[in-house]
Amino acid sequence: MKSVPFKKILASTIIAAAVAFLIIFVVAKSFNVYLFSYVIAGTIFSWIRHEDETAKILLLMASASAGAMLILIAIYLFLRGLPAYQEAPLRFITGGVWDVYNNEYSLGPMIWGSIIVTLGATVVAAPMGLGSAIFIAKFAPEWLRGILKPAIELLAGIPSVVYGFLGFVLLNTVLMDYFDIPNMGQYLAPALVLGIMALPTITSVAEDAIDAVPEHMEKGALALGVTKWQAIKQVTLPSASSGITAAFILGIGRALGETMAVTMMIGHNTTYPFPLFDVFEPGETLTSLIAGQIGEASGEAVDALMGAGLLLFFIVLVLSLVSRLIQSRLQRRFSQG
Amino acid sequence: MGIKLTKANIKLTFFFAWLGMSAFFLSLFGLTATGYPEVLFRLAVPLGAITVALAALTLAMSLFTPWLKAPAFEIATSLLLAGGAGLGLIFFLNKGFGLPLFEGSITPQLTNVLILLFGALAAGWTAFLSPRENPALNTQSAVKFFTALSVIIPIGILIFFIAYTINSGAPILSWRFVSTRTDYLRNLPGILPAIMGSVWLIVGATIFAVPLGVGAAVFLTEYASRRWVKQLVGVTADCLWSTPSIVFGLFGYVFLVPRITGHSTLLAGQIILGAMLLPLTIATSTEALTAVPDEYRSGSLALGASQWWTIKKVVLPSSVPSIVTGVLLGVGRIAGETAPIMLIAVASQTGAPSFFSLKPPYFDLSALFREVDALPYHLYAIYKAGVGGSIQEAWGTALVLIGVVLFFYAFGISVRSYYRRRRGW
Repeated sequence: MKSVPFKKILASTIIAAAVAFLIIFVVAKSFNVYLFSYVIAGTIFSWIRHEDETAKILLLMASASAGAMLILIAIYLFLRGLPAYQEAPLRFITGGVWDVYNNEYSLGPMIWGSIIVTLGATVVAAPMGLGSAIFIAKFAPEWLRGILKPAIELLAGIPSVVYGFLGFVLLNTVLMDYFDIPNMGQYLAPALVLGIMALPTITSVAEDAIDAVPEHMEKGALALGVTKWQAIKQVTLPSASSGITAAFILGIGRALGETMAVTMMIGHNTTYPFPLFDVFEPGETLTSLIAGQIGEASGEAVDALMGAGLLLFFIVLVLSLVSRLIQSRLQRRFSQG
Repeated sequence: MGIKLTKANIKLTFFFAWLGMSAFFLSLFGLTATGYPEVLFRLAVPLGAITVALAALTLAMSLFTPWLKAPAFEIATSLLLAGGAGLGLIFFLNKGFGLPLFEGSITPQLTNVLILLFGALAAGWTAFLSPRENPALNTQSAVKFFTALSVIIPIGILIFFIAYTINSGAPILSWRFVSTRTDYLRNLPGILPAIMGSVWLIVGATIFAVPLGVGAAVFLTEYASRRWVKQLVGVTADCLWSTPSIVFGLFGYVFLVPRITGHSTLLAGQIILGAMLLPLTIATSTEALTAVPDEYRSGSLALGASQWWTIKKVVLPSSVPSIVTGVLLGVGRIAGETAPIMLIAVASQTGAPSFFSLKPPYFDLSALFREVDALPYHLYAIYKAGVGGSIQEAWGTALVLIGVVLFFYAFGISVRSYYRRRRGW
């Protein structure tokens, strides 16, 4: 009979203990000290005795961490978000009433608000993002590129709460005072600010896509005597088009999930605007609904907000998966060619 | 010969005329946007008249002079421009108009600005369509102008934001403001608890995310041989990265909070911020480790070192700068996150968390299980309580927050560019 080496037994008991500890922590909500200390002590022991193998197992577990986190988030959002959909799923999504006092919840106006605000942000961010990507990748000289790229990166670094505060103090006031728009917190103001916030994502991803197009393709066009812009328009941009689409999708995802800036600038009015495309009415989006109400919510309201969170998570997940798919197809095409 | 010269001259004249018009429209737009209606009004009438005349003249010239050979697009643009300028003039004289359906929302001022913005863009475009013989080059310079504009606008907004915040926040900024907590008796604001809370949140998130993220990256680049493993981790990291921050908050609210104490705690905030930092750490570390040349690895392995020894002594040390850069940029990002910690970690008007004491056992972990204040949340709390009373404190907080974030970014970016220049591979 083949004897199983001691280190394998040790490793499997440690992993089993770690899994058991996690399951107990997740399901029974208790922190089991014995299992925890066994995992720690066992890991330290086997690290001293067999550093190489222990390191490999630990690294494997680390690389599973992101996936575990994502799965955990998905499971818990599903568990807590599903009750809101169970009674009348269609009415919950398309209905027009969000009334905390009568316990009537449906997300229609907020979904519509998210669509309007995201559309507005895309109208601002998409052309400017693509334009700046073209400029940085193709027209800017090397030294200027070294300045512009970090500057655009910095734009993504300004916290959304600061964007929200500046937007609230400056843009909302300007719109109200100077443009005589009577109500505060329209869809327009957060849409404009979100456009600026989504721009760096679009710029950097689109620029990567444009940079990924092999130079010889453009050179070939230039050799035929066209201008640089004609070469970019006819050769580079069509080849990078899927990457640029991915950039737009990512930007839309960013705008859709952005919370604080919208929460601070929007009017928190949970009804449909009239007429539907009136961007000058105060409104509400999915994210601002959750951020604005979860603190005071209880009972059914929490369920409804979790339902909104689930919807948001799902949409953004699909968007990022689609853009990832498009990007990997682009990569494959150029690595073959 | 002579005719050709004249042609060029006329084209050049038109070029400058258009350039002037675009400048006029742009400055008018700027004035309107910043709100100087009386200056605007005095300027608008004479300059608008000149614009209309010029546009009409160009239109006539390009229609009736065969050798100017204006392309259809140019004619259309001049038409639009002339119409826009004329309308703008009329609206300025009549103090503008609103659309009846959108009464009270599409106001006269708004339509004026929109018309001016449109006019400015159209004029900017046409300005580049005239001077050269090769129309393709004209288009190219117009494209250059517009793509440059789309870089200048966001960067201008960035500079404006930072300058405005500095200008508004600097008066209140003092050593007292950042080193004490608010003195409610004497009404002196202080943000030390918020700063310390942010510091501990960041430290905890980094402790949580960096070993996991770097570990995952090491496994992916050094051990994992199958492609789908790498892709799977890449995809999950991507999805985690794009998950909205409020969803992280909700998750912490229903998952972590009941499992820790049942109320908001520093620890929950650290874990959730760590989870947000994790995908970025994985991505940047993977990039950093992939950039280490294979000769380093084979050199070490050829000397008889084990794979783990190679990683520990050769691969990781040589990629530390890039990993540090990635972490710094990520930390700059999570330092300003409000939505996730809002639900699970913070409360305003709390003291600074203290982990160290002068009495044995010299440290006190119970601060992990209490609420903290954090800079971004502090700003949000001021906004929520009504900005009117403490707008100065809000600006001061915003300034400190921007300062912290910019410090991390600037540090990260300069480390990166320094090592990119120095590193030989």
